[in-house]
Amino acid sequence: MPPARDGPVNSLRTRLVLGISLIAVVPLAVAIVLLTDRIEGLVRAQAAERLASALGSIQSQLAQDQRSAVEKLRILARDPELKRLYLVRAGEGRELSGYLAERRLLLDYDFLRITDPRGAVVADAAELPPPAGGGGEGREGRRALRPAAARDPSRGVEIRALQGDSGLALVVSQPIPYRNEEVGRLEGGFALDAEFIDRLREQSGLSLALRDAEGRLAVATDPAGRGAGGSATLPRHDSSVSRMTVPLGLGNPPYPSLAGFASTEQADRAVAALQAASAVLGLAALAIAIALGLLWSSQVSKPVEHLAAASVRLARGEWDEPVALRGVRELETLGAALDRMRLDLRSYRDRLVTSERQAAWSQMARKVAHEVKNPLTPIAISIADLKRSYDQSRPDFPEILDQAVRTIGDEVESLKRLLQEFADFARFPSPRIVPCRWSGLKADLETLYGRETADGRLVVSPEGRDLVFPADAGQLRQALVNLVQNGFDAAGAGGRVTLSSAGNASEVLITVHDSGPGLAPGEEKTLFDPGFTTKAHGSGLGLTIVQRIVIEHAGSIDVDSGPGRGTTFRIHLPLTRES
Amino acid sequence: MTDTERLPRRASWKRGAALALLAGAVWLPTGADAAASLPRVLWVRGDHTYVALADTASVEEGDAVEFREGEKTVAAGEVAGVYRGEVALVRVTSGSLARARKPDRLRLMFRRPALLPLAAFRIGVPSARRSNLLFSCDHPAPGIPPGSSYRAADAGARAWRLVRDVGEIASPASTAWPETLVVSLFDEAADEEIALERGEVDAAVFWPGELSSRMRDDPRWRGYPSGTRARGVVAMLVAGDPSAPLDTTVVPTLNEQLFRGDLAPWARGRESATQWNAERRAYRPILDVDKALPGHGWLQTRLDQGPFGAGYQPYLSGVVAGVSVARARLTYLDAPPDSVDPFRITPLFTIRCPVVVGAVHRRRVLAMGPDALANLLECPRRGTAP
Repeated sequence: MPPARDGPVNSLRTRLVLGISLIAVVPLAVAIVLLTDRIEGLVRAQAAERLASALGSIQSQLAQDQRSAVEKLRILARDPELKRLYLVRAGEGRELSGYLAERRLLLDYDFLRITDPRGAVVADAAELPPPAGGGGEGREGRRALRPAAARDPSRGVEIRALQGDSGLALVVSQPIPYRNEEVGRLEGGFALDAEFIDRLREQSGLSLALRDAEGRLAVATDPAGRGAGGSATLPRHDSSVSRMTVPLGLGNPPYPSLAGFASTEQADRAVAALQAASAVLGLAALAIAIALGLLWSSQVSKPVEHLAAASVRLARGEWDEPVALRGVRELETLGAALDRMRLDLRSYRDRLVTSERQAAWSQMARKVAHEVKNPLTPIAISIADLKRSYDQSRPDFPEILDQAVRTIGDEVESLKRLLQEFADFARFPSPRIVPCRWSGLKADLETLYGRETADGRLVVSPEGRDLVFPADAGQLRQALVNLVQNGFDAAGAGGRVTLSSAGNASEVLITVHDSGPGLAPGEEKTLFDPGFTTKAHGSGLGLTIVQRIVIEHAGSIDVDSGPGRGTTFRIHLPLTRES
Repeated sequence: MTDTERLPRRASWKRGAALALLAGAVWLPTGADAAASLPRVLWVRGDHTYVALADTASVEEGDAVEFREGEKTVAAGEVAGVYRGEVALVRVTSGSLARARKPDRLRLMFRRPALLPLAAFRIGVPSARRSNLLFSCDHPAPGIPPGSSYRAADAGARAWRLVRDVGEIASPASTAWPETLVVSLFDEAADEEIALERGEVDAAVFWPGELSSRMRDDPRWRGYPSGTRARGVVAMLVAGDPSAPLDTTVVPTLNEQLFRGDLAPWARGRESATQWNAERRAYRPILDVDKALPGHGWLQTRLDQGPFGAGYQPYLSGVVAGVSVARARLTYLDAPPDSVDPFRITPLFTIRCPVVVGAVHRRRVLAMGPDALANLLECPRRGTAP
């Protein structure tokens, strides 16, 4: 198959395959991307929602704990027994401490103590161990803690640091009233320590970090989920952990904050698996699409390929093979139209050939008649002169006879030569293509026109390298002789003809330039027609023969001429020839 | 080192003997013999002497005691405490009973020393913010003891100072009254109790039912007097028929359970009223607490829970069978008890307030009259003069 036919067919098939693949894969890919993006968004949103819900629940619970602690302490601060122990038996601090230790467990506080109006601790539940068997829910037996000293004792609720422990303490403070005066303060509350954060972790399932109001890490759960520790590190910042921080409305502003961390690792793995499955699915879909594309494109492109081949054949003039397309109705219609066109073209060509042949014969007959008639006129005049001289018995009859015989002989000779040229044109042989060297052709021309070369009327430009190209050397020599001779004829006695050659990878260019007056405008159109000549006794077949030889060599010839510029003929010959 | 530590077995024997004697003294029949009607020494331990009293009302804390052997005084002391009015603990201040061969034969002479004039006496009373179950006292005012010449020198929101005229002629009764009565108003009963324990007040008046069990059971305050207020009656009446006869069997239980026995059971005309009611076939009351009472919710709840509701039967036992049930209203009447006609309604209690005082001032309080102290706080109704 010629290369010119492969490109478009392959391109069409490729495009079809590509198009079908894209049609199959692009929506799937878009759907997969959108789906995975949506699922990932949902997973993140659910994680964020879970975080917000859990942290909100913790916030509510702590707020409730705070309210409960405040209320319990308010009641306890008015307990007559407490007041009696504090006010009546102030010296018996141990009994008061015992009372506080018992109440601490009963009221589920982590610490409970009494300070005097100056802030000095009078009694502390931490001074005594918790009584056996006593205690509130979840805090039984837990040792009492000690919060740091109050920064502002008048504040009812305060977040403080824990003495000797990591974490914070929610300290509720209530005045102990006696006779409308504050005689002391009762401080109680619970620790926001490792145990506390671990308990929240168990409830919420989140990793948690508690920061004080200044943003310092107070206590955090172990990111590995093994429990809490004051020195525990926070979960690393990566995409598999959703995080959220909420203020804990405990105490007075600024509030401590609680950060929650929810791992989305499992969900991320599920999304990754989904993406991988989607990719596999996409590849499978792509393979199926390519296979189907090949199948379908073959079905679609084959008639088109046949159509293209038929078009090429038509373009090359091979109009004998009918155009037949099957498979696609539109293409069958097109094929039928092409076949009709082929038949029409063949018919037109046959008629044109017949017409041209007739025209050529007519032209040739007119030319032959014209050329034959030209010598006949002097012959007829000479014969008439001879008759008249003989009848007149002219004294110079012998001279006149001699002259007439010479004239008639010349004209007969001219007729013979003319007829020989026509005979030669008619039986012009097919070229015999062999490797031909330009140096050989040049040498033959220089020998043939040795005198003109010597006196400079013929200039053969030296070639850079010896060109070798396929040609019939005899026919090509004849064509060059015709062009050189025409050049001499056009340039006149003082003119000059230049012959040169050049070559590239694909062709050989032979140029013949004469310094003549050049062609008149419009003459180049009929320059190669048989019978065209600007000479008085030319047959008009020289350039026609040159063109015929060049075409037989699969080359081309063009002419560049103008008044005052001379005329240049350029012969393009291919370096390769198909067999 | 004490005797108990040195000779535990002997001391134990002595203690056992003393307790036996004490029990014998308490529980022996009163008519055993005439000698038993005289006070006699039961047991001597160091400077403490336990004495069996003959007259339950004659000896009080602070009384001076002389132990005489014939005409000779061998020791003297002071009554440190009286147990159930039958046994007194005497602290020997001079002399000794160690050499007395038969302490139970010693003759005891009790003498009550005269109360010395006192410059100031501090007493606590409930403030306006401390209402009780029966009534509220939103605008308390000093109640000048009747027959005295006190005047309110300072009547603030938290304390009053009542000053007696300098020119008043001293009398045994008036000697008990101090020159100045400092009345402190307490918002909380617990604060008042603590103030009493801390010695910030000499005596304290409580609303009925307010005093804590701890104070009631504490030997230091046990046996405190009570004062009846001049106004206030707790009564039952049937709506639409206030004079309907009601069974009052419930009265003691109600007082004990709701007011710890502080209210004074209605006594005036009781027998005749009871008889009258019996003749009229008393109704069994189902009590609805008057909603005007500050503690009506709590009282009603307790009444519904306790033996006063519709399901309670025992107090009807012994009463005329087949009595009708009547819904009666338990209410408080802000009126002098004298003005209440027991034949028109069924009065149950008068308002009696505990006047808690330590041993040091108990005689003085008794001399002043607990009623007068209970009425130091007047609760005039809004718009009326005290």
